[in-house]
Amino acid sequence: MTTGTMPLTDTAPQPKSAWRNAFILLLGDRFALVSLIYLVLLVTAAAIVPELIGEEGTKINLRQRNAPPFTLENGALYLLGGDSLGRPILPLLLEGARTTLLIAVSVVICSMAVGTGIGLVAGFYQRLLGAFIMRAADVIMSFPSLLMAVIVLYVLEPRAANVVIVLGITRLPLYIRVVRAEVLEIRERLFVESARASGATNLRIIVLHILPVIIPTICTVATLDFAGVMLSESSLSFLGVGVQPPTVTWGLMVAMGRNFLTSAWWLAFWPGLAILLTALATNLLSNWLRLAMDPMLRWRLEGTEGEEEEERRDV
Amino acid sequence: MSEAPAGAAPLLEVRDLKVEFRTGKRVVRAVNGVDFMVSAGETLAILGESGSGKSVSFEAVLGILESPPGFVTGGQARYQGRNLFDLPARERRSMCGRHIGMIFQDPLSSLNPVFTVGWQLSEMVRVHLGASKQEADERALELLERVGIPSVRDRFDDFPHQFSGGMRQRVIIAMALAVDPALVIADEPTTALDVTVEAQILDLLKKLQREQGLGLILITHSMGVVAEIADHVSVMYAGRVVETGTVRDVFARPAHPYTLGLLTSIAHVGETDRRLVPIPGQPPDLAHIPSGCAFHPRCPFATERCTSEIPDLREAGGPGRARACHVLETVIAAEIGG
Amino acid sequence: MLEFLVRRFLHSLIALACLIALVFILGRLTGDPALLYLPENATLKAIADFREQGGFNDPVLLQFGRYVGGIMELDFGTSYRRNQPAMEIVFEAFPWTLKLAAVTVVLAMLIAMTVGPMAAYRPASIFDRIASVLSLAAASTPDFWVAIIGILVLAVTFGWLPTSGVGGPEYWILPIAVLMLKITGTTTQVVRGSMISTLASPYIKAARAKGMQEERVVFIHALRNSVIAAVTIAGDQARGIVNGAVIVETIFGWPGVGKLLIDAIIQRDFAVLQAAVLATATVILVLNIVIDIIYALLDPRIRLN
Repeated sequence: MTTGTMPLTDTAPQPKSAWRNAFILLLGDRFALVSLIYLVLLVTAAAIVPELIGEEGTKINLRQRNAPPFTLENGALYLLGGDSLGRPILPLLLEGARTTLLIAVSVVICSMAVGTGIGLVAGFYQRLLGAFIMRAADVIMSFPSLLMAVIVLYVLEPRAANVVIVLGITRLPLYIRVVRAEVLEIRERLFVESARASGATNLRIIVLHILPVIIPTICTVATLDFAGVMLSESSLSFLGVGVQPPTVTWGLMVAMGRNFLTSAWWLAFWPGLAILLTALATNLLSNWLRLAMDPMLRWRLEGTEGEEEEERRDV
Repeated sequence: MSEAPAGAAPLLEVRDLKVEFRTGKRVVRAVNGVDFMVSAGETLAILGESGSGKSVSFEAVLGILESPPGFVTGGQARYQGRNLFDLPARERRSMCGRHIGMIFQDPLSSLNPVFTVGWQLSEMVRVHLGASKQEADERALELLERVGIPSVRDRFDDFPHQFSGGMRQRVIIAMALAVDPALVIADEPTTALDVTVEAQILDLLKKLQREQGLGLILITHSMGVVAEIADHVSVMYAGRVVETGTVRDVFARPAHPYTLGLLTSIAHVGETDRRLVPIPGQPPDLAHIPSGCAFHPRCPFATERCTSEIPDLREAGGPGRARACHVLETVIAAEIGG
Repeated sequence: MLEFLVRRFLHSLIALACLIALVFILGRLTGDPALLYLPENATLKAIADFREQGGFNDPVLLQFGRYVGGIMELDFGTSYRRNQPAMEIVFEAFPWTLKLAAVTVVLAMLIAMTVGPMAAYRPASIFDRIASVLSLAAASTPDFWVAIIGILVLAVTFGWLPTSGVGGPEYWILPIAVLMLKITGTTTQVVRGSMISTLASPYIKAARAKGMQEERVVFIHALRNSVIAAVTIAGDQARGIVNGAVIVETIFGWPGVGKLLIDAIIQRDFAVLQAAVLATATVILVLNIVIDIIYALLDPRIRLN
């Protein structure tokens, strides 16, 4: 009896490096690509430009009082206009970017870290502790965050640190739920059983086995959450219960610009637009991340030629 | 190409059907030029493993293929002489729903969970026959009785999750027969059921076919089911038909190594001294189908020619009997120990 | 289903109790409560008197008991600004917010339930792409900014609409439009996503095989399932509306609970602040229970188990 021993003439595609893969996937979604570029530019500008401009950016210059935007006659710095004291808006905007982004990132990181920790505990010690944690998380989730933040910041001082704490707490339940759900699912899987059978302690199991698997999901949730945090913080600043002057955030700039709406609309316009664009970019990017992380949906991003023809057809 | 028995015009005639799936840059040729034919009162079984393209073929014919990512890239599907692929979408949808009933594999996921069983059943009558709600409901009750659902009036307003698996499958059959189709396509109708229920369902299908003179296409991977109720069988492998003929003929004298392999890998009643021989290897990944005859890596008779030249489906041994294999018939006859 | 609802109800009671305790703690134990109630330039004597009269020098537990007792009788203290019981003030403001919220929700749902399925029906088409980006943008917008720009353009520059206040229909347009943004954007996205995955499920394929035309499949067979998905997020959206109402009412001078809240902060009227927060939270909790009921009714798998 002869067996077919001829090798298959088709060979499977070679695996590529992770970075190259990510880049190709990114190309598949033009919105996400543009968003990423925008965010990188924003962060770079916010980090570097204020240093470069230095004193010029904050000098009061009454000749440029209420300078209108879109004209270069007052110099490049005044491209976005000047405020009632003649200070250029552009550097102020980047200052505000720093604070706004820093606060948002801090909130996300803190709530992610703490929330993950609590979620892990809730997932592992399911019985009493876990149930209690979930009830507490539900309670937190059922209050409107702005309301809570407002009343807390009224009582305590409105400072950046307090804002971070309050917003962080309102975000906790999100991570707790997601992490706990993942932990519960993973616990059922064989490799955890085998690790336990070979004598690993709980902590070891958590760190070595469970954490690496849930990190992608947590990151997706975090990026999704970022925009919401930024919007919340801006609302708080706008209402006057967030950070106080002289610290400046975009929300605060909108509030300050509100008084000059009819005379100098650009004071309120640019910071609000910045919030919108940044939130939108983050949301687009997190949508992309969700697709890219899910092996079953990833094909939607590979190969852009297919997408143009892709309309629903009855075949 | 198999010929129809003299005098019976085919209900459904599929020729050279080709279906591709494109996901990003990957192209999978799920169906590679298949022919089928079934006439009224006949049962054609499509036998193959999962991934052989059997379900996809008929989803493509009925126009319910997920597209994208699936695309029909060639062929015709003639229902009573008219090519379904030429019809405008709306007409085709309506015609197929009205004249071709479909029974799906998993009855739970084929029924909409938020509508009652009665509503889903009478919808067929309301939409296709323009009946009033009352008339349609009456008809639906009749149908449920016919397929053997007990206390139909009580169960009419129940939801799918309140039925057992076997009952749900009966509901699906009732839905497929609701407006008296001429042809019924059953995709693995008994796979999700246990053995006793399977027997009941098969009996039901046979009985209904006799009563109404339906054409029946049965898609399955189980040879037992084929032997039970089919008249003709087409064996599919990796998107192609590799053998076709009457059930009796094909099972008694298989003319393709794959069919032979299938038969020798299962136990037959009464045999006590034959070793079961599974087919070595795995069905191919449809994105990377082997060159030449797709079966050659697993075939004990493969020759040089088999690795490079795709065998055509050729008539062998009488009308309606065909196979796609380069290796001579005599070799296989010798193997069976004739 | 009954068990499900009872559990949720008890749950909400616990949440309410926690909130009451939290507000109490915030109000009494984070420094001198008198400073919260009195204006910033109050004399030391006024502060001391206030502490005596308000019973703030008594042991904490006693204060808490009185506090809870007061709540039971809907007595949240008197507003020092307006010399009215705080609860009365809140009750006057509530209907305004409710009216605003109700219209907003209805409009938002209508839009989401039409645009969502239409976009999901032809995914990656021009309509879908535009709809997706627009709804995402709507969900990413800072509402206070849109409100301000809206006022600037539509009210000040063109004079088509009033800048603030209440009155005929034209006073409603901007506040509703701004309040609607986020909830419409999010709900449309959710409905669209849910529709896309529903449209890929086996029973939809079966419905097509049954010969149902695509409109019927999308708007009857599939949408029913997605309504359930939309209701699931309705709880979050309700919270979003409350958050949004605070901003919108403040900017547009709409005399609802949101504006009351912010005014109470500016005027340092803690009695009203407490009352407003607790009242709002209660309404939200009740709303959540109602949403759970609707959800249980809509999904037969829950209703009949």
